[in-house]
Amino acid sequence: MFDIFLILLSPFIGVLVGLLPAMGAFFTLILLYPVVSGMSPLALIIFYAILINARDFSGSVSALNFGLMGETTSLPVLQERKLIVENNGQKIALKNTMIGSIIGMLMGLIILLVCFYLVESYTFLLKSTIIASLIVFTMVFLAFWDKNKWYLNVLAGVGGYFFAVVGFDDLTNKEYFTFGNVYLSGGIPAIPLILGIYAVPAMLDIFKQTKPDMITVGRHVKRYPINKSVLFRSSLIGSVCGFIPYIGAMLSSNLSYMLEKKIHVKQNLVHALNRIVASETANNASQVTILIPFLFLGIALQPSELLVLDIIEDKGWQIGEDSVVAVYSLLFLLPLGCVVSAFLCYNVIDSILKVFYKHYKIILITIFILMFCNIVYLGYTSNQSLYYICVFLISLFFGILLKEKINLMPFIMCFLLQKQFHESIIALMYLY
Amino acid sequence: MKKLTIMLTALLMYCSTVTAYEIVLNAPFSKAGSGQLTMRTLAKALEAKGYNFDITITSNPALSKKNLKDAKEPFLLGWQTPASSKSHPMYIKPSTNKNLLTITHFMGHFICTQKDVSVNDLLKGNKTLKFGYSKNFGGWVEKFKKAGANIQPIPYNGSKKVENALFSGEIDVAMSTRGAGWQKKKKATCLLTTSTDSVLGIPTVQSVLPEWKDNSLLLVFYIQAKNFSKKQLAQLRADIEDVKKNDPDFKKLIARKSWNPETSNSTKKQVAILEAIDKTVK
Repeated sequence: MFDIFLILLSPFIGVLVGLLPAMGAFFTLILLYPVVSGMSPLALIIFYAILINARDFSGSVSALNFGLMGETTSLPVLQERKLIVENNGQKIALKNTMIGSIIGMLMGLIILLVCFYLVESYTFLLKSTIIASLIVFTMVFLAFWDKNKWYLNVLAGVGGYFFAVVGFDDLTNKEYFTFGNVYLSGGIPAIPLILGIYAVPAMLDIFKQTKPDMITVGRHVKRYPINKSVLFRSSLIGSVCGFIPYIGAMLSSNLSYMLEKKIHVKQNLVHALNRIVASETANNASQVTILIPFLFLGIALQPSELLVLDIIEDKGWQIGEDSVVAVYSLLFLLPLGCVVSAFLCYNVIDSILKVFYKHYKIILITIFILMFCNIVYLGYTSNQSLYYICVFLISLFFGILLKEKINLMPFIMCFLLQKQFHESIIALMYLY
Repeated sequence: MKKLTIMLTALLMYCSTVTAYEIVLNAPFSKAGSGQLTMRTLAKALEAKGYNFDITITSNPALSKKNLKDAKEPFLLGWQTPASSKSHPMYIKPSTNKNLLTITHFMGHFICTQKDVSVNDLLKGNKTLKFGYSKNFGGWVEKFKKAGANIQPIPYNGSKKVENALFSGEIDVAMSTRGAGWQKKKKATCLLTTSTDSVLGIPTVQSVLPEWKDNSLLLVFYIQAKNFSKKQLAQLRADIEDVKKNDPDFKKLIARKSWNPETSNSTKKQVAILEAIDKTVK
């Protein structure tokens, strides 16, 4: 009974997680550990699947309406926000991304069903060659990111890569740029860095305004039908990227977005809508296919999955036998969960926006405090509170300083991709 | 009134015994891995006995070592050995009789495949097999190669990556502590184990390469103590041994992961095990 209650609650929790920057599925599961560890394996898988999809629904809502980065997968939406707001397109953007997300999720479910019958043949996607190729592909795209000059993109990318190198590297058995500091030995933590360099400067922009952008949301806007080929392309990209360990979701939304930027190049609302629909569709598709290695092989591709896997294995979950029940349950319950999440995001958002408009400064300050507390807590659980705060504040300083001069997206992407790329390259060097 | 007095006295006595001090339990393991799970499971069982833990999982060995050095209060350090080299942050000198709390468990590695490979192919085959392993154990793999294995070693960062490489078909053979689990779930066939004894009927490396000394490779998890009085340490040792032998959650965890529990050796012998492993680290 308690399991059912938690499953019913999962869209709400997911929506909340997406709205709050720096929460993330892993951190949420850690917070909910006493509760979720008591769930049955099947119930936990369903809970988790709905939660991560709902989180991505509201992640884009947060980025679009509040200018906050709920998830790293919302970065493309954040990029397009200004253009959409200027054209009073928030409501239609919300509607189109919701539809895209549902289509993406359904495409993911179709792939899930296909893999259910072809379980043996897709593991080749875990090969270092595939992972390295996809990362190189992404980096090439980043070099031509049109928010900066190409050399600035390269500079930012190299910078991000360099920052990710800091710490002890197990593969080369060497320390890089730690200067004997024990904290640096563990590397630069991603969450305080990204929040400081990107998310908070974006929040400060809203804060500086006398009236926030969402004032125009309630206005009637023209209907913009969704481009079907965008949906198809991005849901396919998302479904494939879902198989990439650790970075699949982030890669899917950004890759789809970058591809769509090459196709829909104009700086108008129609093209901007297509670009963000692509990123959100891909994102939700990947959140379903990411479950495939997990369900069929017991392979966790992201930290939150690792935690779920550990709990369900502890309860005697059998990959294979129990996977069948899980797949059929997800086929029915995941669309239901996503529709509830979409309904919540689309309908309740109006009321939220009204409150936000009225009290946006207090809300932003509260979110900032919560975010800061979150960073402190994350640091505290690792015995590194001060280090996390320092990383956050230094990043914030540079984030504010560089904001007007350079778009730091290539920096963040390369920072997040470095480890995976480095490991794949080392493996390839030994393999061939 | 009499009952109330007895209850209050009992509560007072209880509170004045083991809960009188807080113990910091610090470990550098990954936040989602089985190392931290072991520490949390043990701590949970000990808390049921009245202990009070403040658990910190740093994921940073250099920091955990610093915390140990700076500790002024009762402090436990969860650790694993061997490290790949003495320059690795995961390396510390082995615990002594005075500061070793316990070896929680140990495990061998398993050499497994998803392909049609036999022990003979591995040791005497014509084709050089791509052999994936976790980077930390490179020293042992090189010795295995020198002992006659026809392999091309491929290092990965952690057992998860080794698993992915095996299942994707990128490598022919994988060496991992997860092997027993794969064999149980029929995801791979394990040819050999580096453990001292056969596990799940999988033969040991020693049984096929008896001439090679130091042919076993064990990953040992243990806890080192600091700032405990002799009495406190003796009590904690007794309680943790009881947990290892009798706590259902801990026993279930050990069984699920196919690990070896360390429940039979005295502290002195456990120290000797750690010292022996330390000698293999260059």
